[in-house]
Amino acid sequence: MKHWILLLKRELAYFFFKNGYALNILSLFLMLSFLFSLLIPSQETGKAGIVILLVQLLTTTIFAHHVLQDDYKDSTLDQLKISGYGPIFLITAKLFGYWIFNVSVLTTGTFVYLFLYKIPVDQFYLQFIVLLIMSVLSTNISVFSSSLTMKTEQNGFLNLLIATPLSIASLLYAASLLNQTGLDNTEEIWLDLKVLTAFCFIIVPTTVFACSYIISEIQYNS
Amino acid sequence: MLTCHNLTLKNSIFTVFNNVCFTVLAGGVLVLQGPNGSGKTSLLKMIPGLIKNNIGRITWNNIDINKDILSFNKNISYIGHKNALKPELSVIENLEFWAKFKGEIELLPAAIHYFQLEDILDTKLRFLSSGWQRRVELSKLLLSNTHLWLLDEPETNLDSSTKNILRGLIEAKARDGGIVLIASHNLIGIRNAACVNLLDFKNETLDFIA
Repeated sequence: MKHWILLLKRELAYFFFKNGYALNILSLFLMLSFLFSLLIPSQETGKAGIVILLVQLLTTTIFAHHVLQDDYKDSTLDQLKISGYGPIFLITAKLFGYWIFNVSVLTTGTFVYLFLYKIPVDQFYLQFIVLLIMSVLSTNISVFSSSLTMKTEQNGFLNLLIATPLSIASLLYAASLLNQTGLDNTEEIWLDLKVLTAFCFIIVPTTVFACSYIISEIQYNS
Repeated sequence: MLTCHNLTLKNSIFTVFNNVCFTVLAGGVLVLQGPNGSGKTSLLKMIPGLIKNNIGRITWNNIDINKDILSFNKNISYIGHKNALKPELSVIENLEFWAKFKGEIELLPAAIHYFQLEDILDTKLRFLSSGWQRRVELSKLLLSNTHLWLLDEPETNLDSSTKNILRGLIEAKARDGGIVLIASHNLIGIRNAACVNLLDFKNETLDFIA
């Protein structure tokens, strides 16, 4: 566990303080949110949440290649693989690190965006919970797609091509949930949230095992 | 004792090497030689399981490494072609991570001292020359007490004085009972090192003991 936390800390330090990734992803998030919001009238608060979901998926996927490809390129991945810890150990630390990074950066962006849209407090909570659940899904799916394209250069767009179809079901479901105006039917909303969480229980272990398999099989970084 | 039994590597086009058999006893240094594409790096990567599609068997103290590759890998320090270091982190941040992750943090001062890294500890790696970056990478060898060192072109970018430091380190490791496998175009002049040319394994089987 000590080594897992060490790897997690390194991932977080790398994302937050090095290379300006945090600033880049936040800027991209706000820029895309603003561009999308031009298409939506400010009264349509439900759609504002959908914009955030879409932009979250885009930004998370575009930056996902840093999770594995950087380590693959400089052969750190080789050294991590032979450090005596299994691929699941490595991938869970990396995924968790990227998720924390995403949540913290994108939450900041979401607050700014929702403030601009003047979303009522009760809807804001719902949108935030949905965004949190969707961040788990988008992180896992984007890291999975980036693990598939680890050997290719400039793979941001390719990642999007892989991640978008995989996320579409949960994205549509979350969008329909956010489209419900008001919180009158609380029971129904809780049920929808449970279904969305169930998506996580399927996607997270699947992607962890898939990514672990890929990094254990990927060969030769000469 | 590390033994490779009939290792064969074929890619989709040709056989890289065929039936490589060798044993390296404790305290042995084996230099794998050969021109580009002869399979030196591949052979080194086969040992910790970074390349899996091989024919043949590798044993460590007469136990097949595939029985418990994770435990076996804890005995290995591997230095590849590239430096597994983050250019955005300082020298000390890079070394501290590897010392805590795979080695022992108590060994860090000795590693720094041996490779004379004291003056550059707070410098970010990207500001260092390739030679100094290689020094930092090589200092990782001293961060853990592993029994088997796999070194892929370790002398790349090093000046003659650092090559001497490296040579001394390898010889000391061998004296200490460790095993060192080096892939190199050039023999770097290590005392009592055995050499094997992978081209010799192209068409025939050779048994080799170092």
